[in-house]
Amino acid sequence: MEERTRTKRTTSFRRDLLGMLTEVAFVGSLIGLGFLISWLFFMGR
Amino acid sequence: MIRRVWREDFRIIGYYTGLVTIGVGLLMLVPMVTSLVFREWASALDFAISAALTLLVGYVLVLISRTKSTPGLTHAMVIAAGSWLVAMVLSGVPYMLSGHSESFLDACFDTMSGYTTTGIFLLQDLDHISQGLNMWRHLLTYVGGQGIVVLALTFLIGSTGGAFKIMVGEGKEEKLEPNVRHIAVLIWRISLIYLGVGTVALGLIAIANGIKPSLAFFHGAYVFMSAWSTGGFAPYSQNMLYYHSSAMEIASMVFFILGSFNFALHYAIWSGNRREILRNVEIVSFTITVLTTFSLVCLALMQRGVYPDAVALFRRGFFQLVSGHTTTGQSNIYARTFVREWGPLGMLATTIAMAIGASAASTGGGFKGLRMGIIVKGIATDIRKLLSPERAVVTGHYHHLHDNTLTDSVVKGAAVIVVLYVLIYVVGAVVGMAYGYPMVDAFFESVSAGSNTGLSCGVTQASMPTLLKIVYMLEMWMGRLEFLSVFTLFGFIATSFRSMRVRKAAV
Repeated sequence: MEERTRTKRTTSFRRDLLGMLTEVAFVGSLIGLGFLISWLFFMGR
Repeated sequence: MIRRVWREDFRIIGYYTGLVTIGVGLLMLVPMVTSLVFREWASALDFAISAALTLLVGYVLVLISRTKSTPGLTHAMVIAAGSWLVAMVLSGVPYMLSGHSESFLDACFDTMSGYTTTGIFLLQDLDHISQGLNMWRHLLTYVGGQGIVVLALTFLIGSTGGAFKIMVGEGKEEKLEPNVRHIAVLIWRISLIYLGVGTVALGLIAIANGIKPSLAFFHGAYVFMSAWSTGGFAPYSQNMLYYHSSAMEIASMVFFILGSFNFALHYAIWSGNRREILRNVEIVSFTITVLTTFSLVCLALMQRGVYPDAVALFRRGFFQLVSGHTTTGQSNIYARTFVREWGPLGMLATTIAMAIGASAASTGGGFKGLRMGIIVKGIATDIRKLLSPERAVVTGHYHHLHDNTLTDSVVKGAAVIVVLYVLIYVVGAVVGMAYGYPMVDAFFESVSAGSNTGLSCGVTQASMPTLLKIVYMLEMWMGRLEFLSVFTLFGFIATSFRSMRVRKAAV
Protein backbone atom coordinates (compact mmCIF):
# COMPACT_ATOMS: atom_id res chain seq x y z
CA MET A 1 0.00 0.00 0.00
CA GLU A 2 2.79 2.40 1.07
CA GLU A 3 4.85 1.40 -1.96
CA ARG A 4 1.88 2.20 -4.23
CA THR A 5 1.37 5.61 -2.60
CA ARG A 6 5.07 6.41 -3.01
CA THR A 7 5.01 5.39 -6.69
CA LYS A 8 1.89 7.50 -7.24
CA ARG A 9 3.56 10.51 -5.60
CA THR A 10 6.74 10.08 -7.69
CA THR A 11 4.68 9.83 -10.89
CA SER A 12 2.71 12.94 -9.94
CA PHE A 13 5.94 14.85 -9.15
CA ARG A 14 7.50 13.77 -12.45
CA ARG A 15 4.37 14.81 -14.33
CA ASP A 16 4.32 18.24 -12.64
CA LEU A 17 8.01 18.75 -13.36
CA LEU A 18 7.69 17.73 -17.01
CA GLY A 19 4.63 19.95 -17.38
CA MET A 20 6.48 22.91 -15.91
CA LEU A 21 9.56 22.28 -18.09
CA THR A 22 7.38 22.04 -21.22
CA GLU A 23 5.78 25.39 -20.44
CA VAL A 24 9.09 27.08 -19.63
CA ALA A 25 10.68 25.66 -22.82
CA PHE A 26 7.81 27.06 -24.91
CA VAL A 27 8.05 30.49 -23.28
CA GLY A 28 11.84 30.42 -23.72
CA SER A 29 11.39 29.74 -27.45
CA LEU A 30 8.92 32.63 -27.77
CA ILE A 31 11.39 34.98 -26.05
CA GLY A 32 14.09 33.66 -28.41
CA LEU A 33 11.89 34.46 -31.40
CA GLY A 34 11.44 37.98 -30.00
CA PHE A 35 15.21 38.43 -29.87
CA LEU A 36 15.52 37.06 -33.41
CA ILE A 37 13.03 39.68 -34.69
CA SER A 38 14.95 42.51 -32.94
CA TRP A 39 18.20 41.24 -34.44
CA LEU A 40 16.68 40.90 -37.93
CA PHE A 41 15.39 44.50 -37.79
CA PHE A 42 18.87 45.74 -36.91
CA MET A 43 20.48 43.60 -39.61
CA GLY A 44 18.04 44.86 -42.23
CA ARG A 45 18.53 48.51 -41.30
CA MET B 1 -34.01 35.12 -14.52
CA ILE B 2 -35.43 36.82 -11.42
CA ARG B 3 -38.67 38.74 -12.09
CA ARG B 4 -39.20 39.75 -8.47
CA VAL B 5 -36.70 39.89 -5.66
CA TRP B 6 -37.58 38.07 -2.44
CA ARG B 7 -35.96 38.16 0.99
CA GLU B 8 -34.44 34.71 0.33
CA ASP B 9 -32.58 36.13 -2.70
CA PHE B 10 -30.94 38.76 -0.49
CA ARG B 11 -30.12 36.04 2.07
CA ILE B 12 -28.32 33.87 -0.47
CA ILE B 13 -26.36 36.83 -1.83
CA GLY B 14 -25.58 38.18 1.64
CA TYR B 15 -24.47 34.79 2.96
CA TYR B 16 -21.98 34.05 0.17
CA THR B 17 -20.75 37.64 -0.02
CA GLY B 18 -20.19 37.45 3.75
CA LEU B 19 -18.07 34.31 3.31
CA VAL B 20 -15.94 36.00 0.66
CA THR B 21 -15.59 39.03 2.99
CA ILE B 22 -14.38 36.78 5.82
CA GLY B 23 -11.81 35.37 3.38
CA VAL B 24 -10.57 38.92 2.67
CA GLY B 25 -10.38 39.63 6.43
CA LEU B 26 -8.29 36.51 7.04
CA LEU B 27 -6.03 37.48 4.16
CA MET B 28 -5.23 40.76 5.94
CA LEU B 29 -3.44 38.74 8.62
CA VAL B 30 -0.60 38.01 6.14
CA PRO B 31 0.50 41.69 5.77
CA MET B 32 -0.04 42.13 9.52
CA VAL B 33 2.46 39.35 10.24
CA THR B 34 4.83 40.82 7.61
CA SER B 35 4.67 44.18 9.42
CA LEU B 36 5.37 42.47 12.74
CA VAL B 37 8.39 40.66 11.24
CA PHE B 38 9.79 43.99 10.03
CA ARG B 39 8.84 45.70 13.36
CA GLU B 40 6.50 48.15 11.65
CA TRP B 41 4.17 48.56 14.62
CA ALA B 42 1.98 51.32 13.14
CA SER B 43 1.42 49.34 9.96
CA ALA B 44 0.67 46.16 11.94
CA LEU B 45 -1.96 48.11 13.89
CA ASP B 46 -3.47 49.41 10.61
CA PHE B 47 -3.90 45.83 9.41
CA ALA B 48 -5.22 44.62 12.78
CA ILE B 49 -7.94 47.33 12.67
CA SER B 50 -8.75 46.61 9.02
CA ALA B 51 -8.88 42.84 9.56
CA ALA B 52 -11.14 43.24 12.60
CA LEU B 53 -13.49 45.52 10.65
CA THR B 54 -13.58 43.23 7.60
CA LEU B 55 -14.15 40.08 9.67
CA LEU B 56 -16.91 41.87 11.59
CA VAL B 57 -18.68 42.94 8.37
CA GLY B 58 -18.32 39.42 6.93
CA TYR B 59 -19.51 37.75 10.13
CA VAL B 60 -22.54 40.05 10.45
CA LEU B 61 -23.45 39.39 6.79
CA VAL B 62 -23.22 35.62 7.31
CA LEU B 63 -25.14 35.81 10.58
CA ILE B 64 -28.07 37.89 9.33
CA SER B 65 -28.39 36.02 6.05
CA ARG B 66 -27.70 32.42 7.12
CA THR B 67 -29.37 30.10 4.59
CA LYS B 68 -29.13 26.58 3.27
CA SER B 69 -30.38 27.45 -0.23
CA THR B 70 -27.94 27.05 -3.09
CA PRO B 71 -27.38 30.03 -5.37
CA GLY B 72 -28.96 30.06 -8.83
CA LEU B 73 -27.20 31.58 -11.84
CA THR B 74 -28.50 35.12 -11.14
CA HIS B 75 -27.45 34.93 -7.46
CA ALA B 76 -24.04 33.61 -8.49
CA MET B 77 -23.47 36.48 -10.90
CA VAL B 78 -24.56 39.08 -8.31
CA ILE B 79 -22.37 37.44 -5.62
CA ALA B 80 -19.33 37.50 -7.93
CA ALA B 81 -19.76 41.16 -8.96
CA GLY B 82 -20.88 42.32 -5.47
CA SER B 83 -18.06 40.50 -3.64
CA TRP B 84 -15.48 42.32 -5.71
CA LEU B 85 -17.05 45.68 -4.77
CA VAL B 86 -17.24 44.85 -1.05
CA ALA B 87 -13.65 43.50 -1.12
CA MET B 88 -12.47 46.65 -2.92
CA VAL B 89 -13.96 48.98 -0.28
CA LEU B 90 -12.78 47.02 2.79
CA SER B 91 -9.32 46.34 1.35
CA GLY B 92 -8.89 50.09 0.91
CA VAL B 93 -9.01 50.68 4.68
CA PRO B 94 -5.32 49.81 5.32
CA TYR B 95 -4.33 52.07 2.41
CA MET B 96 -6.28 54.94 3.98
CA LEU B 97 -4.91 54.30 7.49
CA SER B 98 -1.34 54.26 6.13
CA GLY B 99 -1.70 57.90 5.08
CA HIS B 100 -0.32 57.15 1.62
CA SER B 101 -3.64 57.63 -0.18
CA GLU B 102 -4.91 61.16 -0.76
CA SER B 103 -8.57 60.11 -0.51
CA PHE B 104 -10.65 57.00 0.06
CA LEU B 105 -11.51 57.03 -3.65
CA ASP B 106 -7.78 56.80 -4.43
CA ALA B 107 -7.47 53.91 -1.96
CA CYS B 108 -10.39 52.11 -3.66
CA PHE B 109 -8.84 52.84 -7.08
CA ASP B 110 -5.65 51.08 -5.96
CA THR B 111 -7.45 48.07 -4.48
CA MET B 112 -9.64 47.73 -7.58
CA SER B 113 -6.46 47.91 -9.66
CA GLY B 114 -4.90 45.26 -7.41
CA TYR B 115 -7.78 42.78 -7.38
CA THR B 116 -8.36 43.12 -11.11
CA THR B 117 -4.61 42.61 -11.70
CA THR B 118 -4.41 45.93 -13.53
CA GLY B 119 -1.44 47.64 -11.91
CA ILE B 120 -2.04 51.38 -12.29
CA PHE B 121 -1.94 53.14 -8.93
CA LEU B 122 -2.48 56.48 -7.20
CA LEU B 123 -0.57 55.67 -3.99
CA GLN B 124 1.71 58.49 -2.86
CA ASP B 125 5.39 58.08 -1.97
CA LEU B 126 5.46 54.40 -2.93
CA ASP B 127 9.19 54.16 -2.21
CA HIS B 128 8.59 54.72 1.50
CA ILE B 129 5.58 52.55 2.27
CA SER B 130 5.81 49.76 4.86
CA GLN B 131 6.69 46.18 3.93
CA GLY B 132 3.27 45.22 5.25
CA LEU B 133 1.49 47.51 2.78
CA ASN B 134 3.78 46.32 0.00
CA MET B 135 2.86 42.73 0.86
CA TRP B 136 -0.82 43.70 0.86
CA ARG B 137 -0.61 45.30 -2.59
CA HIS B 138 1.03 42.24 -4.10
CA LEU B 139 -1.17 39.79 -2.23
CA LEU B 140 -4.27 41.57 -3.56
CA THR B 141 -3.04 41.17 -7.09
CA TYR B 142 -2.02 37.51 -6.54
CA VAL B 143 -5.38 36.59 -5.02
CA GLY B 144 -7.26 38.70 -7.59
CA GLY B 145 -5.48 36.80 -10.36
CA GLN B 146 -6.72 33.43 -9.14
CA GLY B 147 -10.10 35.01 -8.26
CA ILE B 148 -11.23 35.96 -4.77
CA VAL B 149 -14.27 33.73 -5.15
CA VAL B 150 -11.95 30.84 -6.01
CA LEU B 151 -10.13 31.58 -2.74
CA ALA B 152 -13.34 31.50 -0.74
CA LEU B 153 -14.50 28.37 -2.55
CA THR B 154 -11.29 26.56 -1.66
CA PHE B 155 -11.29 27.31 2.02
CA LEU B 156 -14.68 28.54 3.20
CA ILE B 157 -17.62 27.39 1.16
CA GLY B 158 -18.62 23.89 2.30
CA SER B 159 -21.43 23.18 -0.13
CA THR B 160 -20.30 23.18 -3.74
CA GLY B 161 -23.80 23.29 -5.21
CA GLY B 162 -24.08 26.42 -7.32
CA ALA B 163 -20.46 27.29 -6.59
CA PHE B 164 -19.35 26.68 -10.18
CA LYS B 165 -21.83 29.34 -11.27
CA ILE B 166 -20.11 31.85 -8.96
CA MET B 167 -16.78 30.99 -10.55
CA VAL B 168 -18.29 31.56 -13.99
CA GLY B 169 -19.43 34.97 -12.75
CA GLU B 170 -15.80 35.67 -11.93
CA GLY B 171 -14.66 34.81 -15.44
CA LYS B 172 -13.33 31.29 -14.71
CA GLU B 173 -15.67 29.33 -16.93
CA GLU B 174 -13.47 26.31 -17.71
CA LYS B 175 -14.77 23.16 -16.04
CA LEU B 176 -11.56 21.17 -15.53
CA GLU B 177 -13.04 18.71 -13.04
CA PRO B 178 -16.60 17.74 -12.12
CA ASN B 179 -16.16 18.99 -8.55
CA VAL B 180 -15.84 22.77 -8.32
CA ARG B 181 -13.74 22.63 -5.18
CA HIS B 182 -11.28 20.39 -7.03
CA ILE B 183 -11.04 23.06 -9.74
CA ALA B 184 -10.31 25.73 -7.12
CA VAL B 185 -7.72 23.50 -5.41
CA LEU B 186 -6.15 22.73 -8.78
CA ILE B 187 -5.83 26.41 -9.67
CA TRP B 188 -4.20 27.07 -6.30
CA ARG B 189 -1.90 24.05 -6.55
CA ILE B 190 -0.45 25.21 -9.88
CA SER B 191 -0.17 28.81 -8.62
CA LEU B 192 1.48 27.84 -5.33
CA ILE B 193 4.04 25.51 -6.96
CA TYR B 194 5.01 28.33 -9.32
CA LEU B 195 5.03 30.76 -6.35
CA GLY B 196 7.68 28.62 -4.63
CA VAL B 197 9.81 28.22 -7.76
CA GLY B 198 9.41 31.89 -8.76
CA THR B 199 10.19 33.33 -5.34
CA VAL B 200 13.41 31.31 -5.05
CA ALA B 201 14.52 32.10 -8.63
CA LEU B 202 13.78 35.84 -8.42
CA GLY B 203 15.11 36.02 -4.83
CA LEU B 204 18.45 34.52 -5.92
CA ILE B 205 18.65 37.01 -8.81
CA ALA B 206 17.89 39.84 -6.33
CA ILE B 207 20.75 38.62 -4.07
CA ALA B 208 23.07 38.50 -7.09
CA ASN B 209 22.03 42.11 -7.77
CA GLY B 210 23.14 43.19 -4.30
CA ILE B 211 19.85 43.21 -2.39
CA LYS B 212 20.18 42.03 1.25
CA PRO B 213 19.22 38.33 1.55
CA SER B 214 16.67 39.18 4.29
CA LEU B 215 14.84 41.41 1.79
CA ALA B 216 15.72 39.63 -1.47
CA PHE B 217 13.18 36.83 -1.11
CA PHE B 218 10.44 39.36 -0.27
CA HIS B 219 11.34 41.15 -3.52
CA GLY B 220 11.31 37.76 -5.25
CA ALA B 221 7.83 37.04 -3.88
CA TYR B 222 6.53 40.54 -4.77
CA VAL B 223 7.83 40.44 -8.35
CA PHE B 224 6.60 36.87 -8.81
CA MET B 225 3.10 37.64 -7.48
CA SER B 226 2.93 40.69 -9.72
CA ALA B 227 4.16 38.74 -12.76
CA TRP B 228 2.22 35.50 -12.33
CA SER B 229 -1.04 37.29 -11.68
CA THR B 230 -0.28 39.60 -14.65
CA GLY B 231 -0.70 42.43 -12.14
CA GLY B 232 2.13 44.86 -12.78
CA PHE B 233 2.80 46.24 -9.32
CA ALA B 234 6.40 46.41 -8.06
CA PRO B 235 7.80 47.37 -4.65
CA TYR B 236 9.24 50.67 -5.91
CA SER B 237 7.90 53.50 -8.03
CA GLN B 238 10.37 52.82 -10.84
CA ASN B 239 8.82 49.37 -11.24
CA MET B 240 11.23 46.89 -12.94
CA LEU B 241 13.57 49.72 -13.86
CA TYR B 242 14.59 49.81 -10.18
CA TYR B 243 16.49 46.51 -10.49
CA HIS B 244 18.51 47.41 -13.63
CA SER B 245 18.80 43.69 -14.22
CA SER B 246 18.17 41.88 -17.49
CA ALA B 247 18.10 38.54 -15.59
CA MET B 248 15.30 39.84 -13.36
CA GLU B 249 13.40 41.14 -16.41
CA ILE B 250 13.70 37.87 -18.36
CA ALA B 251 12.73 35.73 -15.34
CA SER B 252 9.76 38.00 -14.68
CA MET B 253 8.81 37.85 -18.38
CA VAL B 254 8.79 34.03 -18.25
CA PHE B 255 6.45 34.13 -15.25
CA PHE B 256 4.04 36.67 -16.67
CA ILE B 257 3.77 34.80 -19.98
CA LEU B 258 3.06 31.63 -17.99
CA GLY B 259 0.54 33.51 -15.86
CA SER B 260 -1.29 34.63 -18.97
CA PHE B 261 -2.02 31.00 -19.97
CA ASN B 262 -5.44 29.44 -19.46
CA PHE B 263 -5.61 27.37 -16.25
CA ALA B 264 -7.21 24.60 -18.33
CA LEU B 265 -4.10 24.59 -20.53
CA HIS B 266 -1.79 24.36 -17.48
CA TYR B 267 -3.94 21.49 -16.26
CA ALA B 268 -3.81 19.67 -19.61
CA ILE B 269 -0.02 20.05 -19.87
CA TRP B 270 0.56 19.10 -16.23
CA SER B 271 -1.68 16.04 -16.75
CA GLY B 272 0.62 14.77 -19.49
CA ASN B 273 -1.02 16.25 -22.61
CA ARG B 274 2.12 18.23 -23.45
CA ARG B 275 1.44 18.60 -27.18
CA GLU B 276 -1.55 20.80 -26.32
CA ILE B 277 0.80 23.79 -25.97
CA LEU B 278 1.55 23.68 -29.71
CA ARG B 279 -2.01 23.04 -30.87
CA ASN B 280 -4.16 25.20 -28.60
CA VAL B 281 -5.96 27.98 -30.49
CA GLU B 282 -5.19 30.51 -27.73
CA ILE B 283 -1.46 29.83 -27.82
CA VAL B 284 -1.37 29.94 -31.62
CA SER B 285 -3.32 33.22 -31.58
CA PHE B 286 -1.09 34.65 -28.79
CA THR B 287 2.14 33.73 -30.63
CA ILE B 288 0.96 35.27 -33.90
CA THR B 289 -0.30 38.52 -32.34
CA VAL B 290 2.80 38.91 -30.10
CA LEU B 291 5.17 38.52 -33.05
CA THR B 292 3.07 40.79 -35.31
CA THR B 293 2.65 43.61 -32.81
CA PHE B 294 6.32 43.34 -31.77
CA SER B 295 7.33 43.72 -35.42
CA LEU B 296 5.27 46.93 -35.50
CA VAL B 297 6.99 48.14 -32.31
CA CYS B 298 10.40 47.36 -33.87
CA LEU B 299 9.42 49.30 -36.99
CA ALA B 300 8.36 52.30 -34.89
CA LEU B 301 11.46 52.26 -32.70
CA MET B 302 13.83 51.74 -35.64
CA GLN B 303 12.24 54.64 -37.54
CA ARG B 304 12.83 56.91 -34.57
CA GLY B 305 16.28 55.46 -33.75
CA VAL B 306 15.39 55.07 -30.09
CA TYR B 307 17.70 52.19 -29.17
CA PRO B 308 21.32 51.80 -30.28
CA ASP B 309 21.44 48.01 -30.76
CA ALA B 310 19.35 44.82 -31.03
CA VAL B 311 19.87 43.92 -27.37
CA ALA B 312 18.48 47.27 -26.12
CA LEU B 313 15.59 47.05 -28.62
CA PHE B 314 14.76 43.55 -27.42
CA ARG B 315 15.23 44.32 -23.72
CA ARG B 316 12.96 47.39 -23.69
CA GLY B 317 10.71 46.79 -26.69
CA PHE B 318 9.92 43.09 -26.27
CA PHE B 319 9.55 43.32 -22.49
CA GLN B 320 7.12 46.24 -22.76
CA LEU B 321 5.14 44.72 -25.62
CA VAL B 322 4.78 41.31 -23.97
CA SER B 323 4.02 42.98 -20.64
CA GLY B 324 1.18 44.79 -22.45
CA HIS B 325 0.00 41.74 -24.41
CA THR B 326 -0.18 39.52 -21.33
CA THR B 327 -1.93 42.46 -19.58
CA THR B 328 0.78 42.52 -16.91
CA GLY B 329 1.89 46.13 -16.94
CA GLN B 330 5.36 45.71 -15.46
CA SER B 331 7.59 48.35 -16.96
CA ASN B 332 11.31 48.82 -17.55
CA ILE B 333 10.93 52.29 -19.10
CA TYR B 334 9.45 55.50 -17.66
CA ALA B 335 5.75 56.19 -18.34
CA ARG B 336 6.37 59.28 -20.49
CA THR B 337 8.92 57.37 -22.61
CA PHE B 338 5.95 55.97 -24.53
CA VAL B 339 4.92 59.46 -25.59
CA ARG B 340 8.36 61.05 -25.93
CA GLU B 341 10.30 58.19 -27.56
CA TRP B 342 8.02 55.40 -28.78
CA GLY B 343 5.68 57.74 -30.67
CA PRO B 344 2.17 57.05 -32.07
CA LEU B 345 3.00 53.83 -33.99
CA GLY B 346 4.81 52.24 -31.03
CA MET B 347 1.96 53.23 -28.72
CA LEU B 348 -0.67 52.00 -31.19
CA ALA B 349 1.00 48.57 -31.48
CA THR B 350 1.17 48.31 -27.67
CA THR B 351 -2.47 49.44 -27.41
CA ILE B 352 -3.56 46.71 -29.86
CA ALA B 353 -1.57 44.12 -27.89
CA MET B 354 -3.17 45.26 -24.60
CA ALA B 355 -6.65 45.23 -26.15
CA ILE B 356 -6.24 41.60 -27.30
CA GLY B 357 -4.77 40.53 -23.98
CA ALA B 358 -4.17 37.13 -22.45
CA SER B 359 -5.97 33.78 -22.41
CA ALA B 360 -9.48 33.03 -21.17
CA ALA B 361 -9.75 31.64 -17.60
CA SER B 362 -6.28 33.01 -16.83
CA THR B 363 -5.11 35.78 -14.54
CA GLY B 364 -5.07 38.21 -17.48
CA GLY B 365 -7.59 40.51 -19.16
CA GLY B 366 -8.45 41.88 -22.61
CA PHE B 367 -10.52 40.25 -25.40
CA LYS B 368 -8.60 36.98 -24.79
CA GLY B 369 -6.77 34.85 -27.34
CA LEU B 370 -9.56 32.27 -27.42
CA ARG B 371 -12.08 34.84 -28.68
CA MET B 372 -9.60 36.24 -31.22
CA GLY B 373 -8.93 32.71 -32.48
CA ILE B 374 -12.66 31.91 -32.70
CA ILE B 375 -13.49 35.13 -34.54
CA VAL B 376 -10.62 34.74 -37.03
CA LYS B 377 -11.57 31.08 -37.63
CA GLY B 378 -15.23 32.18 -38.02
CA ILE B 379 -14.27 34.72 -40.69
CA ALA B 380 -12.09 32.13 -42.47
CA THR B 381 -14.97 29.61 -42.42
CA ASP B 382 -17.37 32.19 -43.86
CA ILE B 383 -14.92 32.96 -46.68
CA ARG B 384 -14.56 29.22 -47.37
CA LYS B 385 -18.35 28.92 -47.50
CA LEU B 386 -18.53 31.74 -50.06
CA LEU B 387 -15.89 30.10 -52.24
CA SER B 388 -17.45 26.60 -52.04
CA PRO B 389 -20.27 25.27 -54.22
CA GLU B 390 -23.70 26.10 -52.81
CA ARG B 391 -24.52 22.53 -51.81
CA ALA B 392 -21.20 21.95 -50.03
CA VAL B 393 -21.33 21.66 -46.22
CA VAL B 394 -18.49 23.75 -44.77
CA THR B 395 -17.82 23.59 -41.04
CA GLY B 396 -15.06 25.28 -39.11
CA HIS B 397 -13.08 23.76 -36.25
CA TYR B 398 -10.77 25.04 -33.56
CA HIS B 399 -8.58 23.21 -31.11
CA HIS B 400 -8.94 24.13 -27.46
CA LEU B 401 -8.16 21.11 -25.25
CA HIS B 402 -9.96 19.00 -27.87
CA ASP B 403 -11.29 19.60 -31.38
CA ASN B 404 -14.40 21.80 -31.27
CA THR B 405 -16.87 22.58 -34.03
CA LEU B 406 -17.26 26.24 -34.77
CA THR B 407 -20.95 27.05 -34.53
CA ASP B 408 -22.57 30.41 -35.23
CA SER B 409 -23.52 30.78 -31.57
CA VAL B 410 -19.88 30.31 -30.46
CA VAL B 411 -18.70 32.99 -32.90
CA LYS B 412 -21.56 35.30 -31.89
CA GLY B 413 -20.82 34.83 -28.18
CA ALA B 414 -17.15 35.72 -28.71
CA ALA B 415 -18.03 38.71 -30.92
CA VAL B 416 -20.48 40.15 -28.37
CA ILE B 417 -17.87 40.18 -25.59
CA VAL B 418 -15.27 41.71 -27.93
CA VAL B 419 -17.75 44.47 -28.89
CA LEU B 420 -18.39 45.18 -25.20
CA TYR B 421 -14.65 45.48 -24.55
CA VAL B 422 -14.29 47.88 -27.49
CA LEU B 423 -17.19 49.89 -26.07
CA ILE B 424 -15.57 50.38 -22.65
CA TYR B 425 -12.21 51.17 -24.27
CA VAL B 426 -13.91 53.88 -26.38
CA VAL B 427 -15.96 55.32 -23.47
CA GLY B 428 -12.81 55.63 -21.29
CA ALA B 429 -10.89 57.23 -24.15
CA VAL B 430 -13.69 59.72 -24.93
CA VAL B 431 -13.87 60.82 -21.26
CA GLY B 432 -10.07 61.20 -21.28
CA MET B 433 -10.21 63.29 -24.45
CA ALA B 434 -13.03 65.40 -22.95
CA TYR B 435 -10.61 66.33 -20.17
CA GLY B 436 -8.05 67.44 -22.75
CA TYR B 437 -5.72 64.46 -23.01
CA PRO B 438 -4.40 63.75 -26.54
CA MET B 439 -6.26 60.98 -28.39
CA VAL B 440 -3.35 58.49 -28.48
CA ASP B 441 -2.67 58.95 -24.73
CA ALA B 442 -6.39 58.72 -23.86
CA PHE B 443 -6.83 55.47 -25.83
CA PHE B 444 -3.61 53.98 -24.47
CA GLU B 445 -4.61 54.61 -20.86
CA SER B 446 -8.25 53.59 -21.33
CA VAL B 447 -7.34 50.29 -23.04
CA SER B 448 -4.74 49.70 -20.32
CA ALA B 449 -7.43 50.07 -17.62
CA GLY B 450 -10.17 48.15 -19.47
CA SER B 451 -7.91 45.25 -20.38
CA ASN B 452 -6.48 45.16 -16.83
CA THR B 453 -2.96 45.80 -18.11
CA GLY B 454 -1.63 48.71 -16.07
CA LEU B 455 0.92 50.23 -18.44
CA SER B 456 0.67 54.00 -18.19
CA CYS B 457 1.75 56.81 -20.47
CA GLY B 458 1.38 59.31 -17.63
CA VAL B 459 -2.37 60.00 -17.51
CA THR B 460 -3.03 58.05 -14.27
CA GLN B 461 -2.01 60.30 -11.38
CA ALA B 462 -3.58 61.32 -8.07
CA SER B 463 -4.26 64.73 -9.61
CA MET B 464 -6.32 63.36 -12.53
CA PRO B 465 -10.04 64.27 -12.69
CA THR B 466 -12.30 62.36 -10.27
CA LEU B 467 -14.72 61.29 -13.02
CA LEU B 468 -11.84 59.76 -15.00
CA LYS B 469 -10.76 57.81 -11.90
CA ILE B 470 -14.31 56.43 -11.54
CA VAL B 471 -14.52 55.56 -15.26
CA TYR B 472 -11.19 53.68 -15.09
CA MET B 473 -12.38 51.85 -11.95
CA LEU B 474 -15.55 50.75 -13.76
CA GLU B 475 -13.49 49.70 -16.77
CA MET B 476 -11.18 47.60 -14.56
CA TRP B 477 -14.12 45.97 -12.76
CA MET B 478 -16.15 45.22 -15.90
CA GLY B 479 -13.11 44.11 -17.89
CA ARG B 480 -12.02 41.67 -15.21
CA LEU B 481 -15.44 40.10 -14.68
CA GLU B 482 -16.20 40.09 -18.41
CA PHE B 483 -19.42 42.14 -18.14
CA LEU B 484 -22.10 39.51 -17.57
CA SER B 485 -21.96 39.43 -13.76
CA VAL B 486 -21.76 43.25 -13.60
CA PHE B 487 -24.80 43.62 -15.88
CA THR B 488 -26.64 41.03 -13.77
CA LEU B 489 -25.82 43.03 -10.61
CA PHE B 490 -27.22 46.21 -12.22
CA GLY B 491 -30.33 44.27 -13.32
CA PHE B 492 -30.74 42.80 -9.83
CA ILE B 493 -30.56 46.26 -8.23
CA ALA B 494 -33.15 47.62 -10.69
CA THR B 495 -35.45 44.61 -10.07
CA SER B 496 -35.09 45.10 -6.29
CA PHE B 497 -36.29 48.71 -6.55
CA ARG B 498 -39.18 47.64 -8.81
CA SER B 499 -40.20 44.89 -6.36
CA MET B 500 -40.11 47.39 -3.49
CA ARG B 501 -42.37 49.77 -5.41
CA VAL B 502 -44.81 46.92 -6.23
CA ARG B 503 -44.93 45.89 -2.54
CA LYS B 504 -45.48 49.50 -1.39
CA ALA B 505 -48.30 49.91 -3.93
CA ALA B 506 -49.91 46.66 -2.70
CA VAL B 507 -49.80 47.94 0.92
